[in-house]
Amino acid sequence: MGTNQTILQNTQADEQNVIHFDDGILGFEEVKEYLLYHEDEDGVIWSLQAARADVPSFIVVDPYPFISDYNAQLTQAELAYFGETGTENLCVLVVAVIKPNLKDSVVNLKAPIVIDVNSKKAKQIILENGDYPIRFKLFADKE
Amino acid sequence: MLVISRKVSESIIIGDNIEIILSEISGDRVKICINAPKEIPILRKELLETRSLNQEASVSPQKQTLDKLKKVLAKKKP
Repeated sequence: MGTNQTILQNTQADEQNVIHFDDGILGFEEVKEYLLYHEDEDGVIWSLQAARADVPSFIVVDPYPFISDYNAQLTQAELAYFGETGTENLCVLVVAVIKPNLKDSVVNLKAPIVIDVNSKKAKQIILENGDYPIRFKLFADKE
Repeated sequence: MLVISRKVSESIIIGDNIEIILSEISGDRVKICINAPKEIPILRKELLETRSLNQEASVSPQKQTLDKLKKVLAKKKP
């Protein structure tokens, strides 16, 4: 899958996008609808906020600025969930745990949130390809 | 941790009523069949770990932490 940037940047900063998770998000299966908000100007940090309640709310992050060769491969069955045959309309964001000590912050590369920008359908997909960690340190060897 | 080696179609029995059968080997994937009572949940480990991380992630960071993150990312820009 290519970089998200073009897809994400085409989303207006003040536009509300109601995103529908048929199966919810693991651990929060009852919540099916979310809104996606920009947190920064570059489309790197987003808030995935439950549409009808204050909680849950997740910080999700564009993985490509951190891992330029991040490759989230979807199976045919997973593509079919979105009603797609290819990945052009799909954008990938990873769930982040942001800690006060930023060096301890992690993102889940193993199970990204995949969003179809046309249909607004979404799913958290556990990748079968690659050996991506569930807890990847965002700032491993940096300050 | 108990380490057991199995050939295809061989089994392991856990307790009274859990059976694990090595069903098929194909490339780097192994197919495992599990017979267990319905009440016993069986999940891929990464599913449990993701669920657990999601729960941790659902607690919003404080505003100053998020601001710190935005500053750090702004500095990283080429």
